[in-house]
Amino acid sequence: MSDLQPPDYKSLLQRAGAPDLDDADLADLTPGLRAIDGKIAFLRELAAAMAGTLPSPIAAKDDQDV
Amino acid sequence: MSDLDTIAGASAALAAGRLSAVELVQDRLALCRRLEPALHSFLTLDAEGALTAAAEADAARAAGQATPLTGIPLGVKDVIDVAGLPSTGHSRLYADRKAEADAVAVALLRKAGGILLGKLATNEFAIGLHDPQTALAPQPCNPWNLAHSAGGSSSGAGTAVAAAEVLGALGTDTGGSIRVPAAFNGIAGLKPSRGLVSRTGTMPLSETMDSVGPMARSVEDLALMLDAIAAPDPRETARLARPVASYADASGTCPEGVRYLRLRRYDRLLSDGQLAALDAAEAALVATGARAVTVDLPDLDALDAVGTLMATSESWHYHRERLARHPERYGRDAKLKLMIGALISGDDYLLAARLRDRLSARVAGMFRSVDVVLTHPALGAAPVAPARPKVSFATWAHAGFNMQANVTGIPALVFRTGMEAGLPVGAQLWAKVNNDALLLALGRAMERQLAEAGALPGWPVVAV
Repeated sequence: MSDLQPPDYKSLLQRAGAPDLDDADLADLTPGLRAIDGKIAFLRELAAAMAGTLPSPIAAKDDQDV
Repeated sequence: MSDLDTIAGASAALAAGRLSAVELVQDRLALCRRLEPALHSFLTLDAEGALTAAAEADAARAAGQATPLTGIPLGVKDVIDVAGLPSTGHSRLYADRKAEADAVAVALLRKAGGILLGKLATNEFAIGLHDPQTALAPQPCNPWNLAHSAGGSSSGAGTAVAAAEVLGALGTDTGGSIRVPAAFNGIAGLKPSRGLVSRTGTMPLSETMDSVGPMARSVEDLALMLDAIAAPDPRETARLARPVASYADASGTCPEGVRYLRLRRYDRLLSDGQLAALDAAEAALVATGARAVTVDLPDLDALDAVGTLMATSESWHYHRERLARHPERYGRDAKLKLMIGALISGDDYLLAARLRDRLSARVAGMFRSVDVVLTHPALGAAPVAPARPKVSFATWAHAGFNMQANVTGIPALVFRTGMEAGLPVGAQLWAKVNNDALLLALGRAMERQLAEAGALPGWPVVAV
């Protein structure tokens, strides 16, 4: 997630089925949501460095051909 | 400490006929009545049921059917079902719920003759900070200093065992919830290998990370409890066959030449007292004949991130419908923490799950070169407990240091090894999956070494 364009957490939470939040709830919750975003980004980078987490049915040579 | 304050000591006294189970239970109930107005360890105290069970235990002993747990007063965290008693998870949502059946681990304790004194305090659903507006009872106080935190989420188990209201307890651990209160209250706690102890009949927080485990006043007592509760459960998604017939017997002798790694990665975060407690633990470990080795560590921050993602997502999954229907019955901290899981996608959950497999394989590989890892269970002694805990998720950006054992399913043992400003501090040992017996053997030997050196902390005198 970009720091310049913070996600609209309130809308995302509502879409995910979370109960309504007031502004104070959202203010307290946002650091936790940002922290999770950071951990997700960290794990995605780690997985990329491992060449993905799924064994690929496509050989590396075929990947290059594509 | 009275020799009646440990399971091993009380069991010997009962076997020798020095007192009856009824007398022992009456004694602990009297202690509870004296201490509970200050400690708040219990959500439910079942004096009548305990005395009935104690009489049955005495009859069983007279008939030659005693085990080491027969007649021993025990407690159970209130996320674990005990038939006929309230089982609330310390939530308003379940304030009127009574369990219809024993959880499997509870049934095994009963079968071994354990006496259940009641249900012990927990953080709301083992996740939320204490919320005075929705709490069913006051939060437990640390028996070493009532102004300090008891830790969580197995808070009541920590305080009740430290104060000897009960001699052992069942707790749960999803990311340190047995180990932190064990350290803060100066007792011993074991997060067993995943699958060794059944969770059937326990309110889930995270199916892949939750463990049920014993908390007691010595490592030997943990082994006695584990002997009763370690059994494969066909209803479980995680099953592990115990490799030893008796953990108490197997841990009675400490193997020589154990290879250990002292984890130094977090030293800069630890208090002086915590570092000293780890120094004392390492000296005791070396005195058992263990030797230090160097190994390549897996990515501990990645393990923590995997665990946080999976546990947060799973806890949201479990609570989503209940939270949507009854948000007012949740404490604010529990509600907000659970909602963090709403924004973790299925794709990212699967990513974490697959990384878990890979990282667990690396941890298994690490344990080919080292037998145990010595680390800390907390940054230092229990902090002062705020009257109204402040909801804050800023710390979620930090990497934790207890979740790794839950992610990989390895056993983790905590026991007291020092004091800091009048409060206990402990050490933690990790071993490979299903090597719980090695941890217990080392822990027992290290407790003996610390006692002989005069470095083993004593027990609290509760100011009431």
